[in-house]
Amino acid sequence: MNIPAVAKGFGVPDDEAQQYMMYGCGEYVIDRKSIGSPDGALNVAKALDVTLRNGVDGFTGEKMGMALGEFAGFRTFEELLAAFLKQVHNEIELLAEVQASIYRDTARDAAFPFLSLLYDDCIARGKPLLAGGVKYCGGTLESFGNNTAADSLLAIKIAVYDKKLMTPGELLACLSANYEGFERQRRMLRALPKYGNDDAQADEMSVRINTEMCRFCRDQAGRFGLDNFMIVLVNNGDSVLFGRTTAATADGRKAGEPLSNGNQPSAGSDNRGLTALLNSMAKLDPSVHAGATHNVKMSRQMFLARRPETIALLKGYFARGGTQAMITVTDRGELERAMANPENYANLIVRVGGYSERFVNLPKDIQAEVIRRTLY
Amino acid sequence: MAKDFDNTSGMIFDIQRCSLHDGPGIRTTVFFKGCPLRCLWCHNPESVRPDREIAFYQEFCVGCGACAAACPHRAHRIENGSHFFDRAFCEVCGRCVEACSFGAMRMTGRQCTVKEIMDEVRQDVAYYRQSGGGLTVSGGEPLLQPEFLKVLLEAAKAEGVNTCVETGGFAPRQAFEAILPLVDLFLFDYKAARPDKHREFTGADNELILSNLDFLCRSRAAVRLRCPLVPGINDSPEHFRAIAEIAGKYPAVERVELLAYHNTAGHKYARHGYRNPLPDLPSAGEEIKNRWLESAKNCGCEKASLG
Repeated sequence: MNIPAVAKGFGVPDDEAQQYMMYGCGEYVIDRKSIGSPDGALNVAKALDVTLRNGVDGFTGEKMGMALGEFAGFRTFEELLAAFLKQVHNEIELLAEVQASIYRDTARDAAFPFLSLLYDDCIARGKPLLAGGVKYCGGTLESFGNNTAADSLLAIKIAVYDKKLMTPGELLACLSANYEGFERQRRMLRALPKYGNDDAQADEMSVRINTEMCRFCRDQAGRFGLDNFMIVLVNNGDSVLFGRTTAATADGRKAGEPLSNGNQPSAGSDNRGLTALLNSMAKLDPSVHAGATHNVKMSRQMFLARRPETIALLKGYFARGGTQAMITVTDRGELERAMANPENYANLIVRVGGYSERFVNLPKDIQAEVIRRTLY
Repeated sequence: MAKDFDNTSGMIFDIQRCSLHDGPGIRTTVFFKGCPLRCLWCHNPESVRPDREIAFYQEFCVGCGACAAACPHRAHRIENGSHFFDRAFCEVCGRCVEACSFGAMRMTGRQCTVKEIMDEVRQDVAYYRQSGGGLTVSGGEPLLQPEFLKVLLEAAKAEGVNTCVETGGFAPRQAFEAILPLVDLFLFDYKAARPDKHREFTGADNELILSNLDFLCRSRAAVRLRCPLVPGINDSPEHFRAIAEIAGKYPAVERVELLAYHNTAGHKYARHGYRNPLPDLPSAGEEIKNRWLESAKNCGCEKASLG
């Protein structure tokens, strides 16, 4: 899956694509031939919030992003979606410019002679790494809360536009109040279809917005003088940190709670079984992005006692187009006990996003997010 | 043939993906609704009635009264913020289910075509291939809807999907004959040896069941015997001897699974307005399960394992 995806996404020949590797967490780079440092961060859930509020961040109340019109003024869901994508695209352009300027300024100040020795073409071209040396000088930006945004958009589509269960004003009132006094509405929104359950409607929304913004990003490289510039759906614990400063979202998430991580569902919203989760995660075409992480939390009972089935699940997932999976093996209650008594669990390692970490070293809210993920 | 898949439908109450306990490999289990037996320990009480019924998930109710407003039969009322659901008035029209935004009122049972089921079953073919899994039809009693069952199995076979049927065995012989060539493995329940005990535990005696088991085994069907064991009810030495005897008598019985009673179905009785016949019986622990396995092996049943 990944080699043709890298060939297409990076626009490189197959023999180079075969040399793809993970740069740090889950970002693809081509060994010795490209750099693709993830220097930008895009909070997709906040971009939706800012769009719904006509250019205001619901968490801080301050102006942010583009003012593209009042929510109530979008007559159809497609109009709202177009505005949201415009908002995201604007952010991507800004981040592309930042990426290009980082390389420009860094190249002026630092030649990286040692690194330039290790990357192809620098010596032949007689140029340092970032000043025209490396064959493909590209970049990536990390996107956060993609599926929080997708689930929220689907909730808005169903509740506001299709079934008209609430008006735009009523939904904004719920979000602004952080659902306090609107628990009924929150539960209704929570009960709508969510990504991660092999549900056609929910997964299509996720694939659609991810594809739209990833493609847009990929197409910006040339405009900003980069050889490639792509989104990665790779998050470390920052999906939790960004969540801390993101207002309530229409999927029923409260302000401050974690955002979805990588290409995963929001923690705990997958409940149709492991095959359904894997199918959902295999739907996004990997050639539009430069890497995506997929955490799966399995019990020891499953991973050890049902080893043939576990292997079959992963093989089936990759056969269906899965690109990557990160397995945490734990038991019900173990993480809770580790949270309460960290000194007894010094060696308990979990996959957070694009990386592993000792569980007890994580901040409490990241620990809580890992605990909330569905255990299979 | 394809037309049959569109036009043949039946009553099911659930489709469970990634099922690891209903036959070999990774399976999708389709639960047919309706059962002729009334086993004391039933853990799918919502499977017994052959028609739809309303489930009330009290913990999801916010007392909003949308159900009461929608119900044409006055089965719902809200008093002091509490929701009362009187099933005596309920006609199972489903208006309350449509009206409830919180998942507190749900419909158990839906009429589903073979095509609709296969659309979901097909989603996991990649995992069946890798694990030797496939489709399991369970219930309720699948053989109570013989035509629906047969067409579903034909549809699965047409797509090369492995098939298991889990049955209590209490169904006319013709129903078994009709599906015999379409089933890769029967998961056949064996609950009590003596007819009087069987009637006491399940509401029916076991003559028909044993004769169907005999028929399947003589027809060289692959059979896995599944023995629900309930502490203090059917875990007598006599029962283990009977299990061993059957397993020894029929080479077609490839394996004997001892299924330990668990008491996790209590909420399902409550949600569907039923009384749990065994409200206080705790789940069987590891120790007792291992003792059962030992008892079966001591009776000479080498095919036994804990299921």
